[in-house]
Amino acid sequence: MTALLSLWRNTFVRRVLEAALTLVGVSVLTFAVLRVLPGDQITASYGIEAGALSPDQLASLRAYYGIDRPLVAQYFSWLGGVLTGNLGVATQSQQDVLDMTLRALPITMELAVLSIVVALLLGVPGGLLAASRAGALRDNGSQLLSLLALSVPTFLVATALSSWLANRFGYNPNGEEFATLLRDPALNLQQMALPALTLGVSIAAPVFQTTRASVLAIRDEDYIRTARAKGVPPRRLQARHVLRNALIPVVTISGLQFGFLLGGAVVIEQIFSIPGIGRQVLLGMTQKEYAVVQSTVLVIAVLFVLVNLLTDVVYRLVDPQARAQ
Amino acid sequence: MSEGEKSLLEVRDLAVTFETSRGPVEALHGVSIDVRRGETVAVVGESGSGKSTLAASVNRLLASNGTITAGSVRLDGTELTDLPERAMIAVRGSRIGMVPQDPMTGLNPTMTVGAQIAEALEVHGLASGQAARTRAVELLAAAGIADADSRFRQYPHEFSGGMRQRVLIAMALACRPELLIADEPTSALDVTVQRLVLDQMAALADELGSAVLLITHDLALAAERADRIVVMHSGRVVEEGPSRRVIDAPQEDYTKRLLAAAPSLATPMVSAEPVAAQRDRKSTAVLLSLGGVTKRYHVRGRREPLVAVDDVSIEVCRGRTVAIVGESGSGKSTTARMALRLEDADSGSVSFEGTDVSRRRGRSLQGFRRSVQPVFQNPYASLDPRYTVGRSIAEPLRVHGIGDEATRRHTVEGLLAKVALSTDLADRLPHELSGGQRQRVAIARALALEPDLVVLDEAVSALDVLVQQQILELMVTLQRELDLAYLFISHDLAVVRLVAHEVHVMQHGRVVESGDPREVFADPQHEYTKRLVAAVPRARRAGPQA
Repeated sequence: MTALLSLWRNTFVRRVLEAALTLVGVSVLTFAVLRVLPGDQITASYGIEAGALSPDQLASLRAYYGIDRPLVAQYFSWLGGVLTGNLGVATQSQQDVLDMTLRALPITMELAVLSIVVALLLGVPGGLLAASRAGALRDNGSQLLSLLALSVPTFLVATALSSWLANRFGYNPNGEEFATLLRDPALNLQQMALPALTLGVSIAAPVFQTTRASVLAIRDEDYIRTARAKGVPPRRLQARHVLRNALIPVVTISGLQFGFLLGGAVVIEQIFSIPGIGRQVLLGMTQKEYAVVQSTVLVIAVLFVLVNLLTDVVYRLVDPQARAQ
Repeated sequence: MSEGEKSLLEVRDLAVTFETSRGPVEALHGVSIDVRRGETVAVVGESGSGKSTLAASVNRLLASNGTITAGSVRLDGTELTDLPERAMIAVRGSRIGMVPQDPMTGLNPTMTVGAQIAEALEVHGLASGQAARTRAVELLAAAGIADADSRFRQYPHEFSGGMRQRVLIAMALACRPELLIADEPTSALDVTVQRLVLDQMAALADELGSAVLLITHDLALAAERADRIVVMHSGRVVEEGPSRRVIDAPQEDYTKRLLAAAPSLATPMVSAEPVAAQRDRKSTAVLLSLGGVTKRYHVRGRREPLVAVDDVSIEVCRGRTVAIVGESGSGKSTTARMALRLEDADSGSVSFEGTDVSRRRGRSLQGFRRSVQPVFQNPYASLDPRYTVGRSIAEPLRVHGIGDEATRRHTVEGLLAKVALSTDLADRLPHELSGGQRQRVAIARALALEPDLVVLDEAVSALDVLVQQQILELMVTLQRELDLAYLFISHDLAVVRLVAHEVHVMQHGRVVESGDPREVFADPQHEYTKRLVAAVPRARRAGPQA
C-alpha cells in the first residue's frame, strides 16, 4: 500500500496513469454514445428499406457487421484490435481506419499549426500593444476587435469570406480537389489560408485577452519595481522581466487551444472541404461506421493527452518553479 | 555629525499628491529631511503616515497616479525631481539602491538570483559577463549566503524569505550606491531572521560607505539601528533628532503615544487579575484540552510526511489567556486550526468541556462551533467585502438560526457598542473602515454567539501599535466582563507578555518551553526561547527608559 502510494506521488508515473485512465474513459464513452444513438449500420446503409428486410436477412447482416454479439464482447474485441494496431475497417468503403487516419491526421495537424501560428502572431503582439497603454484608444480598439472575433461565429465569417472571394474574383481554391502539402505546396497553402485565418482569428481572441491581462498584472508586481529600482531601462524591463513572466499563462491557453484544434475543426473542415480528422468523424457518425468513430476519437484523445504533456514541458521551460516540482 | 557638514540627501518641503477616484489626495505635506554620508536615518510612522511615499519619491518610483507637486529632492547637490527619466534611470541602482519590503515577491521568479544581481552591474556598465558573475558571487557571499558559487545559478523559489532578502540587499548594494533605501526590509521575516538580516545589511552598507534611509513602523528597531530618527504622522514630519534623544526624551505628544503603545518586555500586564483567583479556577474549569496531538502533512515530492504538530498538550481554562509563540512553520497555526476543529488531529485528543471534539456530530458539533470562535490575522481578508458590517456580524446568528431580523439588528447594535464602535457603522462596507475598525468588527462577529473561547491567530499582528494597544485593551476588558478564554497565537513576545497568563513556545511542531510569560521571557531556559528573546530589539527588551 505504501509502495503504491509513493508510486502515485511520483509525478511522471501519475501523469501516465492519469492519461491511461482518461483514454479508457474516452473509449467507453464513445462506444456507449454510439450504441445509445438510434439506428445502426444496417439502417444507415439501407435507409427506410431496412424495415423491409426479413428477420433472417437482418440476422445475417447483424452477424456480418458484428453487432449481434454482446456489447461487452464488441467493446473488448475492438479494444483488443486497437491495442494490436488494428483500428478496424470502414464497412462501406472497405478502407482501413488506420490508413484513413494516417491520411487525415497530417492535414488536420497542418491546419492546427497554421491556425495557432496565426493566433499567436495576432494575439501576443496585440495584447502587448493593448497593455502598453491600458485604457487608451489602442487598448479599447483592440479589445472591441477581440470581442468581435469571439462573438461572431467563425463559420459565418468563413462562409461569407469564401463566397465573396469566389463570386467577386472567381478565386476559390477550396473548390478544387484537395492537395496535400507534399503533392502541391502552392495549392495546398492557398487552400489552407482561409480556414487557418478563420480559426486563427477566433483563437487569437483568448490569446490576446490572456496576454493583455497578464502583462497588466505582471507590471504591478513587486519584482518589476525592484528591477526599475536597480536602473533597468524600459526595453530590457519589458523583454526580460515582464514578457517572460507574462507568457506563462499564454503557453497554457495556447496548448489547450492546440489540443482542441487537433480534434479537428469539424465545421471549418466541412465548409472548406478539407479532408481532415474532423470530417472523418463526422462521416463516420452519419454512416454509423462504429469502428471509424471509435478509433478516430481515441486517436484524437491520445493526441490531446500528448499535447497536454508537451504543454507541460514547455511550461517547465518558461517557469522555473514548475520545473522544481 | 557636525552641523556644517553637507548632506548627501536633502529633501526640502516635499509635497506628493495621488489622483484617486475621490479626487486628489495629498500624501506628503512639506516634508524635509537630511541624510548625511555614511549615516543611517530611520523614518518611523504608522501605516498611512507617508513614510513609504517619501521613500518612493526619492528614487521617483511613485505609483503611476502619484506626482511630486512641490519641493525638492537633492542627491549630493543634484536636483532629482525634474531630472529627465533617462538620467533618473542612470541614478537608480547606481547611486540609490533600494531594498523592498516583501522578499517573497521582490525577485523575478523566472530569472536566477545570480543573473538578477549581475544585471544591476550590467545595466550601469560596471561589469559584464564573467566579471559581473564573479562580482555577483562576491556580493552574495558578503550578504551572508553560504555556498554563493552554486547558489548563483538557483531561482528565487529555492531560497527562504531571509535568504531572498539577503539577495535583494546584495542586489541593491551591487553598484556601491551612496544611498540605500530600505523600506520595511524585515517586517515580513521571522524575528530571529530579522536580526541577522539587519546586521548583515548594516555591515555591508558600512563597508561600502553607503548611507541608509531605513523606513520602519517599529520605533525600537529604529532606535537600535539608526543614528537619527524622523517620526512621521499624516504626511508630516512630527519630530526628528538623534535616536537616543527621541526615544529617551520625546518632545512631541504623538511620539510619546507611539512609545507608550509599543509593548516591551518590561511593560506591565494589561490584565491585572489576581494570580490567586486564576489558580483557583484552573482546577475547576478546563475548557479546551489538547492531549498529545500530532498532525502530519504529505508534501509533494517528499517521501517522509511533514510533522507539523508533534505531541502537543495544551489546556485553556475559562477566563484565561493561553498564548502560543513561535516562528512561521513552528506549527502554532495548525494547533489553532485543530482547536477550532478546522483540521482533525492524526493522533492525540482535542476535548472541549470534557467531551472529545472529533466525535462530535450534528447538534453537538453545532454547540461546539457556537462556543469556540476564531479571529484571524488579516482584517482586510476575513470580512466579506460585499457584506455590510451589520450583516457580517449577524451572520453567525443567522447560520445558527438565532432570533429574527429585528432582534438580530438589536444584538448587532449591542455588539458594536461592546467593541466600542458607533452603531451607525452597521450599514457601512468593510472598505470604508480602517484596519483597526475592521478587526473590531471581526471580534464583534466572534462574540455574536456568546462563545466561551475565542481563538486569535495573529489577530493584532497586522495593526499599527496605537491600534494594537486599543484592541489588546478591548480584549482584556471583554475577558473580564464575559469570562472569556483566549487561545492567542502570536510571534510577538512583547504582546504575548502583555495579555497572556500562560505561554507555550513552539519550535518545529513541538512545545519546547511553557509557563508564566513574565518568567519564561525574563529567564528563558530553552535555547530557542533564548534566541527569540534576544531577537527582540533592545529598547523593547528593557522598555523605553533603559
